Amino acid sequence: MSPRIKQTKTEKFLMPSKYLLLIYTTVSVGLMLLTFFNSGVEQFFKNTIGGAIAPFQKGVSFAAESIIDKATRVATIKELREENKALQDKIDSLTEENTLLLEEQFELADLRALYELDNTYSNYEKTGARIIAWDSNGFYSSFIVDKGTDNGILMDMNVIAGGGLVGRITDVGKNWARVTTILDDNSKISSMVLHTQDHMITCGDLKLSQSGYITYEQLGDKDNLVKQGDKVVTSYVSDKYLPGILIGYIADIRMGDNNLTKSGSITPVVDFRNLTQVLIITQLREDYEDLDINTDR
Amino acid sequence: MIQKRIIAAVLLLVLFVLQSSVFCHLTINGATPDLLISLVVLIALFRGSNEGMTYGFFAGLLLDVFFSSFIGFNALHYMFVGFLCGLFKDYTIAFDLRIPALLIVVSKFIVLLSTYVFKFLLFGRFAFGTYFVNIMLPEFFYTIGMFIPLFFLMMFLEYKVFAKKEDVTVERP
Repeated sequence: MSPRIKQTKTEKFLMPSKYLLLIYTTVSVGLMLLTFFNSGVEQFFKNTIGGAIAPFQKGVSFAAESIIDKATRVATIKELREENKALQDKIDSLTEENTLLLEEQFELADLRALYELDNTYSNYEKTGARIIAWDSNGFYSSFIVDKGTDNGILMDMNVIAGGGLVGRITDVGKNWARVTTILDDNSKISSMVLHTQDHMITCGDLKLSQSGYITYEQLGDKDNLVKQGDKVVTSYVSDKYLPGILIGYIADIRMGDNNLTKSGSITPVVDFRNLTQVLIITQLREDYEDLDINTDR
Repeated sequence: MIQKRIIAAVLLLVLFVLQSSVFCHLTINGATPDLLISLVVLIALFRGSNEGMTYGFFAGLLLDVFFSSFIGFNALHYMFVGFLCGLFKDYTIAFDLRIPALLIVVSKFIVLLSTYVFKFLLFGRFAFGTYFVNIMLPEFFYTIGMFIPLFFLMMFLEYKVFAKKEDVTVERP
C-alpha cells in the first residue's frame, strides 16, 4: 500500500559508486597517514574548516547556554537556598580556619624566601576563554574554547578553572583551540602529594571519568604519611605542566600490584560537568625552566 | 538538484554545530546524540550511495578537525556508512521507519565498536564493559531517539519540498 519512489530521469553523469568509494577511501587513509607524519596538513584543515565554523559554535553555544540557564533558573532556586545554608555554615568554619592559616602564612613566607620558591601559579599570566563545544563522546575528554593563535594561545599551554587543573591545549586553530582534559583516557601527569612531596603519575581513566574521578599510580609513600584528602599538585618533573598547580584531593589509597608503590583515585578540584569558562596560562613550561635557571644564577 | 545539495550541506553544518554546542548542555549521562550519522544514513537512503558517501566523508571530516587527534578516522567511517546505507535506496518506502531505523542501529553500533577498538583496545584499555554501559548505550539510545524527528524532517524535505520541483514521482502500486 505504501507509495514507492521512483527516479524517472537519471542525472547526466553518474560516477559508479565503487570508484567514488575507492577515491574517498584513498583520500581518508591518505589524510590519516599525512596527519600522522606531518602536522602541517592537520594545521591547514584546522585553520580553514575549523576557523570557519568556530564563530558559529561560539554564537550558538552562548545562546543555548543562556536559554538553558533561564529555563533551569526557577527549578534551581530551592536547590540554591539549601546550598546557601550549607555554604553559610562552611563560611563560619572557614573563617576560623583562615585565622589559623594566616598565622602559618608568615611562616610560609619566610620559608619560601629561604627556598626562593616565590612563583606560585597565582602569579602566572592567564587569559580567560569560553567553552564553545564539547567532544560528544560522553566522558569529558576534550572541549573547544573560543581563543586561538590570534589571541596568543600556543600548544601545550596549561588550562585551569576554579583554582584547579583542567588540562592542556592539544590543538590550536586561528580562533579556537582544543583542550584535552585530565579526565582523558590517555592523559598522564607527573604529580606529587603536596605535603610529603612524594611523586606519582596521575592518569585519566575511562572507567572513572563518568563519575568525575581520576586515578594515580606509582606513589612511593614508604612511611605511610599520605592520607585521604591530601592535596595533589603537578610536579616540577613534568615537561608539559607548570609545577604546583592543584589537581585534586586523594580519594582512596591502595597498595599497588607490585607491593612497593601505591595507587588509587583522586577527586579533581574542577567540576567538569558545569564547566563553561576556563583560564589559559600563557606561560609555557619550557620558558618557565629558563626563568628558573636565570634566578639560580 | 543544486538547491537540494546546498540545503543538505547547510543542514549538515547546522547539525554539527547543534551537536557540539547545544546538545553538550543537554547531555544524558554525559552522552550527546550523534546527529551527523543520522543525517548521513538518511541522505544515503533517499539519494543513494554517491551522495551518502560524499556527505558522510565531509561529516566525518568535520568531527575529525575538531575532536580527533588525526584527520580521516571518522571521515572513513561515516563515508562507509553512507556507502552501505545507500545500497538500500531502492528499498526505501515513504513514511516507513523500519529500514532506516534498522540501518541507523547497525551503523551507530559498528561505528561505536570500531571507535572502541581503534581508540582504546589497541592502547591496551580492555574495559569494554564500562565502555559499553557508560558510553555506548547512552549515546546509542540518544542517537536513535533524535533520529526519529530527523527522519520526519528529511521525509518532509524529500517528498514535500523537492518532489514538487523535480521529477520524483510517487507511484501507488
